[in-house]
Amino acid sequence: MRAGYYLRLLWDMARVRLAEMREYSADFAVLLITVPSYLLVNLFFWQVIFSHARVIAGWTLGEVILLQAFMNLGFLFWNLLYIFPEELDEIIVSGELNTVLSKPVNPVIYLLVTNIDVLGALKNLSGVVAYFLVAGWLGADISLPGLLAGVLMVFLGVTIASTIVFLIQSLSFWFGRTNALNLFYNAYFTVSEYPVTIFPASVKFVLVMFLPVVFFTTGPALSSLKEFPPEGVLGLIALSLLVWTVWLLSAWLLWKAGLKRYEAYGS
Amino acid sequence: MKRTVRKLAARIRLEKEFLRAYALGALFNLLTFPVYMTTYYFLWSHVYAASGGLPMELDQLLVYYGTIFFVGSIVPGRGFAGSMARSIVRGRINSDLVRPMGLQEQALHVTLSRAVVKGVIFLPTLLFTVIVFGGRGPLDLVSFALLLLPAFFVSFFVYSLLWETAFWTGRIRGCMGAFSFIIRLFSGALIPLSFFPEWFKSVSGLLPFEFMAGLPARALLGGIGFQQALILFVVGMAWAGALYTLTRFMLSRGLRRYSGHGA
Repeated sequence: MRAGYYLRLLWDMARVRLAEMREYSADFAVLLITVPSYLLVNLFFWQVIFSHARVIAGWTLGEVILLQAFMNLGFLFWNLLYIFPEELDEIIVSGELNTVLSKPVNPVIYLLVTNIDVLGALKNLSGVVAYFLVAGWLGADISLPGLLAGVLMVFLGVTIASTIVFLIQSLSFWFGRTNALNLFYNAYFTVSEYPVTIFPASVKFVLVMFLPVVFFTTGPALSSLKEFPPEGVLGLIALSLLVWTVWLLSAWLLWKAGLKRYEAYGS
Repeated sequence: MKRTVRKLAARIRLEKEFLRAYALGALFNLLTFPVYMTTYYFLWSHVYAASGGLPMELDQLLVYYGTIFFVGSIVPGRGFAGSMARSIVRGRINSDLVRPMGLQEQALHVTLSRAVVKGVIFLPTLLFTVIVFGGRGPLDLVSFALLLLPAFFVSFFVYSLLWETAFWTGRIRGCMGAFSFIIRLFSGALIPLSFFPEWFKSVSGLLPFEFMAGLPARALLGGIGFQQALILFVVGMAWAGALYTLTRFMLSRGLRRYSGHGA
C-alpha cells in the first residue's frame, strides 16, 4: 500500500514537471534543436581525437561512443531518481525538512519521488538512443545480455554515486551548507566521460571505491561488448553491490545521527 | 576614468569579502585542477603513444590545458549566464533595474572584479603549469596578458547573449549545455584548434570564440609573437565591440518584453 502511495506521488510529480515543460515551451523547443547539435559536436570531438590514433588504451571510437551512451543513461537515472541528494543541504538548512518530517511517510523516499527532472531525463534519453545507434554503426560489437547487464551496472553505479552525495550532504546537519563539497565531487564526474583504463592502477582504485565511475560508464561499456567475459560482468556487478553496501551503511548511520541531532534542537 | 577605477577597487574589496565567505567553494574549485590535468595527461599520453607527428609536444599541450583552466576560471562562463537567467526568471532583476547603472554595466562590474580576485586565487594553477610543464620553450607572458582582456570581454558578451535569451524562453536550461559545449569546442578549450581539420580551422577563424580561451593559451606557448598579439588584441576588442552592440540591442528588446509583463 505504501509502495502504491509513493508510485502515485512519483506519477503526480512527473505530471507537474511535464506541465512545467509546457510553461517553458520556448526553452523546450530550443532544447529539441540543441540536443542533436550537442550530440553531433560531441561525436566530432571524439572523431578529432581518434583521427590522431585509431585505438586509445584499447578503445576504438565506436566503443568510446558506447561509453557516452551509458554515461547518458546514468544521467537519465540520476535525473529521474536521485536529484534530491544534491539539494539535501538546502532542504536541511532552510528548515524544509521539518515539513517533510511532519508527513507520515519515509522522508528519504518522499524526497526521492518528489524531486525528479523529466526535462533532463528526456534530454539524456535522446543521447542514449543516438549514441547506441552511432556506436553500433561505428562497429562496436554489442551483445544483448551484456547490454542488459550494462544497464543494471549503470543503475548500481548511479545509486552508489547518489548514496555518496547523500552522505556528503548529510554532513550539513553539523556544518550547514555543504554544497561546495558537492560541487567538488561533481567535478570529479567529468572523469566518467573517459575510459577508466587510461589511468594507472592507483587512480583506478579511487575510481572504483570513492567515485564509482567504473560502474557508471567504463564497466557497462566493457560488459556490453561481446569479447568481454561473462565472469568479468558478474564480478563487476558483485563489486558494485559490495561498494554500495559499504556506502549505504555509512550514509544511513550518518543520516540517522544527523536526524537525531536535528530533532534534539526541537526543529 | 578615476571614478571607474575607484568603483572597480571598491567592488574588488566587496568581492574579496564575498569570496572569503565562500572560501571553501573557491578552494574546492581549485582542487578540481589536479583532476582536470590528470585526466588530460593520461588521455593524451595514450594518444601520443599511438601516434606521431601531432601539432605540438605533449608537455606543450599540458601547458595549453593548464592555461585554459586558468583562463576559464577567471572569465565569465556558464555560471554567470545561468545566474543572470535565473535572476530574470525569478524577477530578481527588478531591484537592479531601478539603480542608476544599467543592468549590463552592473553585471560587467561584478564579473570584472570577480575576475581580478579569481585571477589571484587561481594563479597557482598557472604557475604550477608553467613550472612543471613549461620548461622546454620560451613562454610569452606579455602576449598572454595582453590577450586576457579580449578573452574576458568576448566571453562576457557571448554569454550575455545566452542569458538574454531568457527574456523570451523563460529559462535557458535547454540551450545552456549544448551552446556552451559548442562554444568551448570552437574556442579551442577542449582540443587545440591545430588538431582539427583545415575546414574547421577556417570556420573557427571567422568566429570570435577562439579569443575566449585558445588564443591566450597559444600566446603563452609563444606561438603568436608580440606583434601579432597586438593585432589580435585589436581584432578581439573589435569583436567585443560588435558583440556589445548586439547584446545592447537584445537587452533593450528583452527589457521591453519584460516590462511588458508588468514586472
